[in-house]
Amino acid sequence: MTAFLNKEPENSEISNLEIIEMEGFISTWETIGTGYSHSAANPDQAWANLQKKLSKPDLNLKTRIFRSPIFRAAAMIVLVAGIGLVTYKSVQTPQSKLDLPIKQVIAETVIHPASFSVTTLPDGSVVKLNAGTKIEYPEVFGSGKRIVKLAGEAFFNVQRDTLHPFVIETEHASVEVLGTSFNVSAYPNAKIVEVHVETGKVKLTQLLKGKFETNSALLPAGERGWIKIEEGEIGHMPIISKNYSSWITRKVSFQRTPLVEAFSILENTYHVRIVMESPEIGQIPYTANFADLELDYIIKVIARTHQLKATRNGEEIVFARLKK
Amino acid sequence: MLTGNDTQIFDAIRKDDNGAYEMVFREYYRPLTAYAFRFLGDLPASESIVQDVFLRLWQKRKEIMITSSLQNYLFRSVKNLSINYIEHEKIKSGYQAMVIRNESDRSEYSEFFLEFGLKQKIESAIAALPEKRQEIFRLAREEGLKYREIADRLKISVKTVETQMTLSMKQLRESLKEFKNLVMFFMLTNQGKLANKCLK
Repeated sequence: MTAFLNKEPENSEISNLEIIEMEGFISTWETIGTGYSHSAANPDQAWANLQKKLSKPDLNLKTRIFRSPIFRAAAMIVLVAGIGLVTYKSVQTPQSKLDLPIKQVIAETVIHPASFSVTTLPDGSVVKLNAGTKIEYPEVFGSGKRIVKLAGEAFFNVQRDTLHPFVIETEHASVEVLGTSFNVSAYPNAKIVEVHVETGKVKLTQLLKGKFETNSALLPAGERGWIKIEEGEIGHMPIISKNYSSWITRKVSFQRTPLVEAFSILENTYHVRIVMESPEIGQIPYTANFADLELDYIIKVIARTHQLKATRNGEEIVFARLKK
Repeated sequence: MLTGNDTQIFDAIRKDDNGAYEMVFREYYRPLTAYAFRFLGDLPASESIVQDVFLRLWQKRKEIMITSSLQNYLFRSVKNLSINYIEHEKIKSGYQAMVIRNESDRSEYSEFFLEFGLKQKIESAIAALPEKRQEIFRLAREEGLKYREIADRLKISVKTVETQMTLSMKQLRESLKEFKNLVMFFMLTNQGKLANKCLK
């Protein structure tokens, strides 16, 4: 293109049509360049560099506590304590009349205090559980499918075993895989079940109560699949919501996201309740990236950006318009 | 975009509010980089210019007088530094220099605050190009290589690069057609002049 545009115009007889085509090319070229540089720019890295540069000549910028090693250590302890809160139960359930009863294991995380846990299943698959999540699996997987029951949200990294498909059963959906990593969000009271596939391939099936036939969709890596429970609709798209793993990474990214959506992502990541004094606040588009920051800080930034007032009472945060 | 309450935020920065500063940085980093990239076609250089603008914003926060708006100040600073860079690098002719010469002061920078949907669309449009053509296109657009350099690197003729690029551009324009409004917007602003100039 550069050469194309720089070419010396030998020909002075250029038709209007060619000019229009040229203009189309230039705008396409610019749009693509803007898109590329916008995506490729890395604000997190740049911010870290900038902090370094600024801390050299003068120390105007306070070192932020959450970047310090002490804070990191504290965070680790909290995380470990969180894992400690997971409760494991064993239940005897006969798998079949012929087999010996296989013990069922139940791992459960609580919401308050928010806990997050990692469980290794008997086949070596690793499951990360978000707070308020319950997973049930047999102590030993049998000869058939590897079946686990889930209520809540979890990220699965499943050991590949083509002979024993891995099945996650939730109240309204079943997710079947061979070996892959993906996130399943199926909270008991939610209106939607969501699956984000990182690698491999996943089969998402809607379980219709009292019906034998089911709807299902095959989701390749990089897809998001969902079931809208009330509408009985199953769908999938090759676009992954950016924040599906925020609860693990504590990274959230908003690109002109309406605040109401941003809040629900923050709720799921930080396990708080966010209330808006008037619903129109929820429509404000918001753009920002936060990586592993404390919630109070994020709340402060959001409030300040849009002239809102945020009040925190324990696990509840209220956003209101700033009164003039 | 922060436009409305821009002044208050700048006041906060003046009063050493690091939080406000970070917020401005995160809000504007990508758009400003995209703006610099329009002139330079070089991502590391673009990022480093934006970095300098922000460094200066903090270090000179007490002295800087902002008459219009913080947004205007930031975009103009990026433009000025880009001009310096181009002069320093002696890029006095060619496409990049032409783009910056034709850049008059804007009142509107919304095209650099890209929406997620458009980004995705652009990426999938490029990904849909045939493999070889895509490689050529990315070398030209993302790495800013000249046709000759691409030809050398891929061991093909310059003519082939030219042909492939024209084909890519046709296909991309076609697949980005639904963003016609955006394209129209470009044509109504300074891009028309630009095309005329380069055809003159």
